[in-house]
Amino acid sequence: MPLWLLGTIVVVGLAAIWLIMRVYGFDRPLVLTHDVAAQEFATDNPGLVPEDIHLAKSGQSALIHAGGSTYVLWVMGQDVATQNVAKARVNEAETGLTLRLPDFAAPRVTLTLTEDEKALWKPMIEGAA
Amino acid sequence: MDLSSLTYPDVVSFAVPFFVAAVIFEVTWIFVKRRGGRYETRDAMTSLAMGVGNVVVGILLGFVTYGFLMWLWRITPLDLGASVWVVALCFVLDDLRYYWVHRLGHRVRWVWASHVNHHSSQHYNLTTALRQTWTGTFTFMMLLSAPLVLLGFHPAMILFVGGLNLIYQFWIHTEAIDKMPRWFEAVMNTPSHHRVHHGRNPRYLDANYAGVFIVWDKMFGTFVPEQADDRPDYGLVHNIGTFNPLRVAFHEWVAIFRDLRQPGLTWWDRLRYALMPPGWRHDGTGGGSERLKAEYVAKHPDAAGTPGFETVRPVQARAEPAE
Repeated sequence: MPLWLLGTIVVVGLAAIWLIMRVYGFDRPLVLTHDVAAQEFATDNPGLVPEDIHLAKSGQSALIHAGGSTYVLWVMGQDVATQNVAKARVNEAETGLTLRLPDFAAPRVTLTLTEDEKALWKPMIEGAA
Repeated sequence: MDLSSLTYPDVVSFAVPFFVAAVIFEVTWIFVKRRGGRYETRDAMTSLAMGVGNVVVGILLGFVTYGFLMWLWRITPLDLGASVWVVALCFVLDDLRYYWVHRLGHRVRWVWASHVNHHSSQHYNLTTALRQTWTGTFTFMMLLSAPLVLLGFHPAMILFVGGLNLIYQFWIHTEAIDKMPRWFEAVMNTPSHHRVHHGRNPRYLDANYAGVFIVWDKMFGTFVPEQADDRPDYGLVHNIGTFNPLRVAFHEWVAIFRDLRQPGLTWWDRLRYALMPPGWRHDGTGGGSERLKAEYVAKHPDAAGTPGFETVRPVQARAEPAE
């Protein structure tokens, strides 16, 4: 198959798939509840049991204490990712906090938080170092 | 027989329009029926970007593997010709090669670094099939094709049947199909068998490496049937936190080199960070699949002896999670 034809099929095909997913609403993010955050955390960190969960009002992130460490859990599409925040650098952002993580596969996350949550979460994350 | 001009169609390129149409069909099916799987826009687009990257890398670096195989072809005295039966035999033996490449891809971290991206989606749909590696050339797994060339199978034929193998594996990346007929499930790799392979449940780790024929797993003791009471949870044991295709493609390579550069390691330990199974750590704190299975059985004693846990001995869980 000529390269130009293959390229055209790929570009048009991917654009069509993206458009269809948008129309079907498959870009709606997961909204966390306490139970969902607990279950997702335990699944992503075998052997750890969440002891204390601070769920953001946005439903898009949670700060979790487990096994003597502090972890951040955040929504990625319809799923989540989790990271230990011991080595995270935390900065205030307009909508919440930005964490820079020492992990090439999860380098940075911006958490959407209220002002009250910002004030509560920042020292907890900094204190986890 | 003079096979110097032997050529086969580039079947993967011809399959691309079918891939696109099948994804559109599956995503529409799921939307209409409200069952049969999950799609998420960024996840699916990342998978598709990985597939495009894989094709581009193949165009740029394909000459390395083909050049190596053609060099072997020139030195082998054997030539099996190009009859239909030889192509069929080549397909079966190449699938056996695929089984071992795939098994090494999960048990040797250097090879896992290339393959991990295929498992990095938390979804399981037809786009997951296209979430292919960009770094396969650097694993040197083309070495496992050497016996086929030395036995007299032409390199062009080997790449042709490899393409057919890849196309076969496309349709099994779906939750829309539950089970195929029993005779088919017994011999062939199916959506059910391959869902197990993509599951991160302890029961399903390091299982069902087959490409086309599931009989290889049954022969070599790695077969685990899908359990109705333990539905596969897809993704990595500890999932990545990015949709960036560059990070998806290279994150485990970066992790290997970070581990290799740790101060105070012996050269033997540095080598083992590249060659031991994923999760291995020099200080014994790692959580490979054997340990995860054993910890699960310790927590769920009833699971001992059930599929996926046939030979597992329980151990106590650690305070720190697995990598």
